[in-house]
Amino acid sequence: MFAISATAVDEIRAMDGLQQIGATGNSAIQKVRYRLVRDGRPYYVVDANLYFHMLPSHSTRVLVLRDTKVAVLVSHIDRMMEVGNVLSLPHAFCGEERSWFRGLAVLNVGSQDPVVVPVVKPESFLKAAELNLLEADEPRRKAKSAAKA
Amino acid sequence: MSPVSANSFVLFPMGRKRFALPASSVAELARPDRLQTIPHTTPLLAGVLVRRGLIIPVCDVADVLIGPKAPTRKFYLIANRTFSGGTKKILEWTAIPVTGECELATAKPVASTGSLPEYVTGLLQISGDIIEVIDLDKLISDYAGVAFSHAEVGA
Repeated sequence: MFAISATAVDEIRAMDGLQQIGATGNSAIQKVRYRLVRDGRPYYVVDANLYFHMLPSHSTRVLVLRDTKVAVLVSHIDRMMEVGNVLSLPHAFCGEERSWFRGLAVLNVGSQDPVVVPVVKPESFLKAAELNLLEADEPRRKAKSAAKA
Repeated sequence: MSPVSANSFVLFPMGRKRFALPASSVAELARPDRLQTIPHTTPLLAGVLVRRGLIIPVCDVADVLIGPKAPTRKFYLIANRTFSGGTKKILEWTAIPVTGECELATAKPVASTGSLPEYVTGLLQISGDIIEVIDLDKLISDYAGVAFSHAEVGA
């Protein structure tokens, strides 16, 4: 389970309208499997399982992030809730997770079964260079769509 | 509370072998607790525990110390690790899964031989056994291939 700030999410939607993007040959963008056109703008859909190096799961929801061209494919939405303090990621974590997560939240604090949930940095899903690479391919995609039509 | 002697060590079992940590670096031996996993790419990190409202990372060093056939770890030994944040040192608790209960011992260590890994800082002779004294920071950083003493530890 993960947490993301509600203010970072513009829309939660089903998977309708996702367009599969063929492999670009660039391993840095294998995590982007789909493209979504929303209000005339393209959004690049990052598969959260691939991004976090997790086993595949059945995806049903897309989080469209605010003020970006990024959306995230997730298995489901659990709930919306107030989270207390977000604690810093312990220094023992020294891998890619330091760029993925703002910190850790503890849910059910004080109970016998507290749950630790990583809080995601929404800006980490796609770097500017990766976005540029994807956008550079847009003219070709548009031409291909026009040809099909 | 009297200060811990430099010759005080906590002995912890890993399978049939015992190892030692300086007693000053050890906080407690914790009962079996719920290990929670989060995605990461840090070597040796098994997950985290929540104890008294604190999040404690769990580093499973059994593979490094005794190999892949380590028995089930039953307790968590909670010890201090040191991280360097620029000009200051940062202490942080880490939980080490161990296979049995620990004991406190006092003995004067002798220097380790050249054939032992660098994370072995000395040897104790206790009850006929030779017990390796472990530098936890060195063990984990050597395995991870990261020089923690010079690592960036910003958020």
